[in-house]
Amino acid sequence: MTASALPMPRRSNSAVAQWVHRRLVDGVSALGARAAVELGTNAGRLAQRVRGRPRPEDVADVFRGHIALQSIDPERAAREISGFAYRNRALSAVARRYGVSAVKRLIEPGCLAGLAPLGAGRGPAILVTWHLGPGCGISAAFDRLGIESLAVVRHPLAALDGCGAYVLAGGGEAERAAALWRAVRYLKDGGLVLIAADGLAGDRTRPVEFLGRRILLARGPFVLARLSGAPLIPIVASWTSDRQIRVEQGSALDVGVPPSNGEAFEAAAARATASWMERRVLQSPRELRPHTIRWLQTAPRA
Amino acid sequence: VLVLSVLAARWRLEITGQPADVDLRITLRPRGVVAAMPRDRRAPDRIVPAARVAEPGVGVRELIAHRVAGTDGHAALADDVPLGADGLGLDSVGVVELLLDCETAFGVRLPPDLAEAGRLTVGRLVGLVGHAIGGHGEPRSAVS
Repeated sequence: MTASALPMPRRSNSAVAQWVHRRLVDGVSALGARAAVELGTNAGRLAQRVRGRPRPEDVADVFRGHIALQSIDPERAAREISGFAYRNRALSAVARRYGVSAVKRLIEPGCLAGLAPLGAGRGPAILVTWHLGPGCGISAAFDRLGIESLAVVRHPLAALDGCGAYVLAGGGEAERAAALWRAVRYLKDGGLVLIAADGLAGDRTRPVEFLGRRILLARGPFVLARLSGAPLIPIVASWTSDRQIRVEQGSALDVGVPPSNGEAFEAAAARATASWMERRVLQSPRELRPHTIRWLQTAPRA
Repeated sequence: VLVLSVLAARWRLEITGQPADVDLRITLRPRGVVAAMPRDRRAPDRIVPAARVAEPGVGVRELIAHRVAGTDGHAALADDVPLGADGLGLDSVGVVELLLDCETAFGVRLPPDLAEAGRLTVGRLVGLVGHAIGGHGEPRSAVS
């Protein structure tokens, strides 16, 4: 059932606001990818001005954690973070409505050459990503290149129509075991597994340093690397200045500890991933998502 | 010597973590207490000798006893004991490590949707390994 077919709730202000928001998203997604991106960006900036969220003082608090971010104006950064968040949400709504292929035209053609080797049967790899930028851009780029992968997601909503196979890892211990086993088997058969390191489901790693904070990452990608022996390849999607999606992959992370070392390997792999992602965030800090800002604020300073 | 022998018979010294690890833990645990932690680091194919591969019921239980400290091998593990938190106490990573142990020890390939089709118990794992070896055990659909 689409949001427009739902009756308007009468319970509380937040329920009404949520209903209005769903109607808006539903309406925006009908416009198509490019228009949704434009409208979403402006709506996000406007929403930040009206609601004051994310708060500039929260952004400043997180940006104080790294010397390269301290000179950024937090007022402007808060507006841009909100603009990017709404833009990503609008794009996801389009992908959910029409399938991930509707987003394909926004992929920057120049980045596809760098991703092509992934589809050339290069062997198993764990594509470790971060909740940064337009996540559905990765699925769209893979769709365009015909790259098959298995995504490990927490919620079915994260798995878009046409994004390929996925497993849910957001339930209890039994569901996580099922997802982990399927991903290990997929890797052992030479496949690519896409998984976020900053996911909130399941066990945590030991603390790693990220933007001057000590954070705990999801243990999943590093357990997968240890059990399968597959390399960890970082990958993220971001926006270009002309509102195209650029998908960038790094080279396989040098963990420096053999997988047979168990927890020491997982800790080293988590550090290497956080370090790569920190370098990537420093290039476009305004693409940090509002929930990541809140998450970082709750983490102790390093 | 007598005192030490009595202590060794009733208590078990468990060391977890790596020598260079800051979280190295040394635990003195009474024997018979089930706890999900690796007992030793032998390769699975060394735990289940080739002669035992013909008996998946015995071999799988040996692998479980190796991975779950405190289980007394074959007799203590009934078929309906779940592998997870409500049974042997293995977490999701422990269950997957056990499945990989079975693949290595028996030289088989277990199906990818193994853990999705219902609760994984000792008996179900034995049946699946037997089926994968060929001829032994029940097919997956016939096992609860």
